[in-house]
Amino acid sequence: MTTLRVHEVCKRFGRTVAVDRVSFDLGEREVLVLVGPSGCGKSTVLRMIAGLHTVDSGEIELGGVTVSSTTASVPPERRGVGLVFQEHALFPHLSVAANVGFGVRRGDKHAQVDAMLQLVGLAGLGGRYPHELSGGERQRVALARALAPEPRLLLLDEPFASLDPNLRTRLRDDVVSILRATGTPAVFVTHDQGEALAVGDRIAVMRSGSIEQIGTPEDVYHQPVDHFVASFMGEAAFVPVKVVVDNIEGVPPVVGAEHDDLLMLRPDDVTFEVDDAGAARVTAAEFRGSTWCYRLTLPSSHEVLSMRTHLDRVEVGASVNPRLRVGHRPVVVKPPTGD
Amino acid sequence: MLTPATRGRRGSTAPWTSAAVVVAALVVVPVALLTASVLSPSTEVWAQQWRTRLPGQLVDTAVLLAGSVLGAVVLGAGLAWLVSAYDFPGRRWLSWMLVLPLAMPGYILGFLTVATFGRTGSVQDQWRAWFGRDAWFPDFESTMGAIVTFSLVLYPYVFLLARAALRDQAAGAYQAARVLGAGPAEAARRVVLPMVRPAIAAGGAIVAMETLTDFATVQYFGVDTVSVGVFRIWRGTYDRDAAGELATLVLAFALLAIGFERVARGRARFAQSGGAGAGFDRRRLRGMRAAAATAACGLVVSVAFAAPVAQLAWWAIDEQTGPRGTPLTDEYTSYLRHSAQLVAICVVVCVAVAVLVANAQRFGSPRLTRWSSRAIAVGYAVPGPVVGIGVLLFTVGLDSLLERIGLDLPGVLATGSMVVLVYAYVVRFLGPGFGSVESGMTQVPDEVTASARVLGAGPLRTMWRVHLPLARSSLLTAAVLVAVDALKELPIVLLLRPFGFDTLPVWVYNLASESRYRQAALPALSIVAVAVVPVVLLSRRLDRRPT
Repeated sequence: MTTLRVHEVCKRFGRTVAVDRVSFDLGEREVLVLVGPSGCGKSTVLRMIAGLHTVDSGEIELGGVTVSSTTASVPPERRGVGLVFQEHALFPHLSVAANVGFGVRRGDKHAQVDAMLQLVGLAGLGGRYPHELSGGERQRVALARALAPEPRLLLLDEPFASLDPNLRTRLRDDVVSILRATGTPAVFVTHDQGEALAVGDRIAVMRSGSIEQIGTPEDVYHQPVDHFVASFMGEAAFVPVKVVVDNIEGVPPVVGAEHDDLLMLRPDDVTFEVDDAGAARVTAAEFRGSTWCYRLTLPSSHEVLSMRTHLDRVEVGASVNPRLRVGHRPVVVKPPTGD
Repeated sequence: MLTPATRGRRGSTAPWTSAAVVVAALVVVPVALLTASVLSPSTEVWAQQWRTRLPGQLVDTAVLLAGSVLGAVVLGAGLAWLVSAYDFPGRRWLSWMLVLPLAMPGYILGFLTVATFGRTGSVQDQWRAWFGRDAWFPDFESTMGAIVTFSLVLYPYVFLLARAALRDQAAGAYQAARVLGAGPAEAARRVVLPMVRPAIAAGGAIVAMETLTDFATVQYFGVDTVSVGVFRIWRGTYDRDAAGELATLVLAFALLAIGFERVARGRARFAQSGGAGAGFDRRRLRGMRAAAATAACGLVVSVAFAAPVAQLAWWAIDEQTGPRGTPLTDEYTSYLRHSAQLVAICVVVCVAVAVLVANAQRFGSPRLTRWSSRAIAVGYAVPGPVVGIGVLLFTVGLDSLLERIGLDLPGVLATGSMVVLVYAYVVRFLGPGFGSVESGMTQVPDEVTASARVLGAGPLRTMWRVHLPLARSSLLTAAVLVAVDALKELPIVLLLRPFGFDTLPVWVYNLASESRYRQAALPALSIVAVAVVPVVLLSRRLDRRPT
């Protein structure tokens, strides 16, 4: 059974179309990530699911019941969803415990609050006030508050964007394991592709109000449907098919490519051997901790990236023979248009 | 995105939206009705007015307006520049005290001016004792006296706005101009003045509105403005159509003032004034110039505030304890009670309505509630007589409408009832109260509202448990602002009060009109004492120096 069904939803603000015919389903226990550049409409989708915006057309169903349509909208307080914001949005005049207990209407409130604080690792801090907490603690309280009423669905709107990178990774892992432990399905909005790949069971990549591609992290990373998804989801070089075939070894036959089609080459797709007779040259090297990322310039002056372990050190200026790693179906995309 | 957090066609938007729209309509309709009455002018009324007092009233109004605005602008902007750009002994204190005249209503300083400098005043007595019976003395019971009074009580509006603009915006630009090679005078003329001009214009517009509102103070001075005309016609003949038509002239003057403000402001807009400005590096004055600066500020403070308060205190004490005085009567407590009742009702209604509309912005349809909240400011931006007569026209119309459909509510909406008086007060004072509540609500992020809703709290519970506790201090500010404005208010209560319902200001005005100045001292002092409270609170907030 699907927890959430979003069907052909549209939303405009004045003249701008914020969301344009977005559709997706969410299974039980599934975490779906909506990812895209800022202003692509992902937060608006989230707010429509929560009932904070109406839909202009299309439908949203929660647990099989239509909650948003052109003619009706169930108010947010009767939807039974949880929502976590980037800025936490804790109630500054209430203690941590009162914040967490705000939405609990049934059963033993105290026990539920304690259990939630335990779950997010803040047991014993119930008496504090939001301004007495660190950023990470506040985010945990926001999570506990959203989970306390036992929502059928959790919505997270860039929940970690205001935290520093180290804390962010740790908190993200905690949140994912809490979602898994409680079995709460979730829609997670982020503009960070790394976060999207790490968190999602499935990823929906959005641009200008529509979903460009929806699939598993491996799908959207390795088999992007277009140039935008390919470049948004990770580093890549885009080189005309003919140039690749002429200059890089090991390229399998590419069928049906047109004249100006490009081949996507991720840094881990390309390797090379140092060869004084090689036609390509190493023009830059970037140290990334566990790996080195080299920029290779082909005779046609196109550039590709190649990732190698830190053990293989190659000097800038060396002549090399690039080669495609076997294992991936090569991805051919049309050149980007306009933007 | 700053869209209101919650909408839904089923559920809870509609009541909030309609409440906000109804409130806005109740505020706007009286003014609109008055404006509409121009479309069907009764030529007879105008012809009669034109033959009698109107030409003189137009001239007096124009002269009074021009003189008061000019005086207040020169005083306010000049003093703001003095305390912002220079340092001299006592500057900090004086800079703060220069705001105090805001607490001195014109109808109080006005009678003190007449009592002191008028034909029978102590100063002229002394003057004649020294220089003979026919010695020349400026006639203060004239337009000139009224202009001096209005300039002294109203300049703080210009002073506050100009000082804030100087501090927040102009200081950085002034320094930049100096670094680019402009001398102090050139930098002031080419950079500072143009930057402060919008603030001065805004202050001037407020001064113009306050001057137009008044028809009590000017009567001490024998000045016959259009506002006085409205009052005379209404209180003399109860001809509301004639009063209404004349009130449209007051509205026309008000629109003219707003037009001037727009022109003077030019295309400049107020920049964000967050108090982030660095402030001027004040030039230290020495010797005679320092003494002159201190004396100038001190003189204004004493003439506009300290000396009048001292005089009132002296008279009040003398009247209560002196051998020839008439001690405190029951009248005082009765008028005080009336004032307190009126103020309490106005505060409760204004704050409740302000909370309702401010919350409707979160829970209702965004477009309609935004329009409503703008419309609410109309009452405060329109002179008192316009509001008073407009409310009168509206309630009388409503009354006869109800009568026609058989819903007779005897006396409730009748002219001169408490309901009408409170209605007019609320129309007039909802603006500042709402502004305060609205700014308090901006402290509550949209996400906080959204969180409460998603956690299962409906609009009412969200308002009660989240919005009100968080906006608490702004509710208090709103209550204080409304209370003081309502306590000081004289024109509307003079126009609309039920028979025998005298408030403290009415009492002061009646006594002063009969030249019983000493007896008016105690109620006048009470009003000033209460009015000082928000002035001190507000100026402290505005004064908080960026460090």
